[in-house]
Amino acid sequence: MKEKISTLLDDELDIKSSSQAVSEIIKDKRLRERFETYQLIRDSMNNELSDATLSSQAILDAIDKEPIQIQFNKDKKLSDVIALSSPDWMTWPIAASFIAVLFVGAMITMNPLHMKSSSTVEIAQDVPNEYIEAHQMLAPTSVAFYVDKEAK
Amino acid sequence: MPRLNNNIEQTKLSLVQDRPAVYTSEHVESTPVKSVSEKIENPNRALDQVLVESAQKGDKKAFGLLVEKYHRKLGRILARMVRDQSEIEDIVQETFIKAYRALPNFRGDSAFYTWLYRIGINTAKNHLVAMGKRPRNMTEFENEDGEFEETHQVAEADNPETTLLTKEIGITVNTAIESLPEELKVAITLREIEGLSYEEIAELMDCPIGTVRSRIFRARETIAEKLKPLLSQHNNKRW
Repeated sequence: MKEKISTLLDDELDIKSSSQAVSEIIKDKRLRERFETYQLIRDSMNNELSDATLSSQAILDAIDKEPIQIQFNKDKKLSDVIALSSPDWMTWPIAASFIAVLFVGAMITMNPLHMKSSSTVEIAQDVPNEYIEAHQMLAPTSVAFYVDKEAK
Repeated sequence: MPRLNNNIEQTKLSLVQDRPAVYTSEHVESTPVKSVSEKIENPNRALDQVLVESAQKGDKKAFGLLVEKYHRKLGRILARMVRDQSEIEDIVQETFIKAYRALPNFRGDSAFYTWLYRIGINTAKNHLVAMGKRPRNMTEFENEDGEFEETHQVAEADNPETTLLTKEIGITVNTAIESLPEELKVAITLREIEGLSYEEIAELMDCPIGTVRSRIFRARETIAEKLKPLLSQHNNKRW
C-alpha cells in the first residue's frame, strides 16, 4: 500500500485507483502519516519548507470546527434526489401520495365552510304569494301555535 | 537550510556524464525536460480531483489531505507579500477556511491549486489593506499565463524552535538523498525536482516503468526512515 501512496502522490494512478487509494489513506492513520511524510519530503526537496507553514495542525483544527460542506450535484434531476436509491416500484406510491396531498389541499381550499360568509342575505323576489301563504299556514311557528290555541 | 538545487544540478550533470552507452546526447536532448515553473503549472490533477470530490461529499479528511498537500506551497507564495511569520500562518489558515466554505461552489473549471492560490492572494491583499499596508502588485507573482511563479525568498523567522526544526528537516532530507544509491537518487531527483513522469524517467534511465516506480518508492522510504526520529520528537504535530 505504501508504494501505492508513492505512486498516487506522483499522479501515476488512474482516477479509479486513485479514488480507492484515497479511501484507504483516509481510513488508516498510519497510511495518512506516510502520505504526509512523502509530501514533507517533496516540499523539502523543492525548498518549500518555511517556519510559518511547517505544521498543518492549526489549519486542520480550524477546519474541524467548520460545519460540513456538501455539494449537490447539479447534473442530477430533482426526482433522483428525492427518490434517492429507491427501486422503481417505490415511485408510484410516492406519486400517488403527492397527488393525494394536492387533492386534500384543494378540497380544504374550496370548502365553503372556509369561505367568508356574506353579510347580505339574498331573498327570492319572484316567489308566488300562494307559496308563501301555504308555507306560513303549514309552518309550526309560534304564531300558528298561538292562533291555533286561541281558536280552541 | 541547505539548498538542494546545486546538488540537483550536479546530479543531472552526473546523470548525463556517467550515463551508460544507451544515454546518447541526442536522447537526452530529445527528452522533454520540464522546468520548475512548468511543473508547478501541471501538478497532480487526478489526486486533486479525487480529493476535491470526496471533500465536496462531506469528507473532511479528504480536505485535510489537500491542506497537507498545499499549505507549505501556499505559505511560500504568500511570504512574498507578507513578511511576518505569524501573519503568514494566519493568512494560510484563513485561506483554507475560505476555500473549505466555498468548496461546494468549486466547479473544477480551473485547477484546485490555482483557485486556492487566488483565494490566498486576495486574503493576503485584504489583510494588508486592513493593516494599513499597501499590497504589492500581484503581477510580480504571476507569469504570463496567470499561473504562479516559484519563489526562493523566505519570510524571516521569529520562532527559534520551529526554525531549528525546519533546518533539521532540510538537512536530514538532503543528507538522506546524498546517501541513496545512485539509481534511487537519480529517480527521485528527476521526479521531485524536474517533475518528470514515470514514463519519461524510464526512457531516460532506460528501464521499465515498474522499476522507476519501485526506485522512487524505495528512495522515499529511505528518506522517511531517516526523518522518523526527528518527526517522532514532534509527534503532536501533523506534517
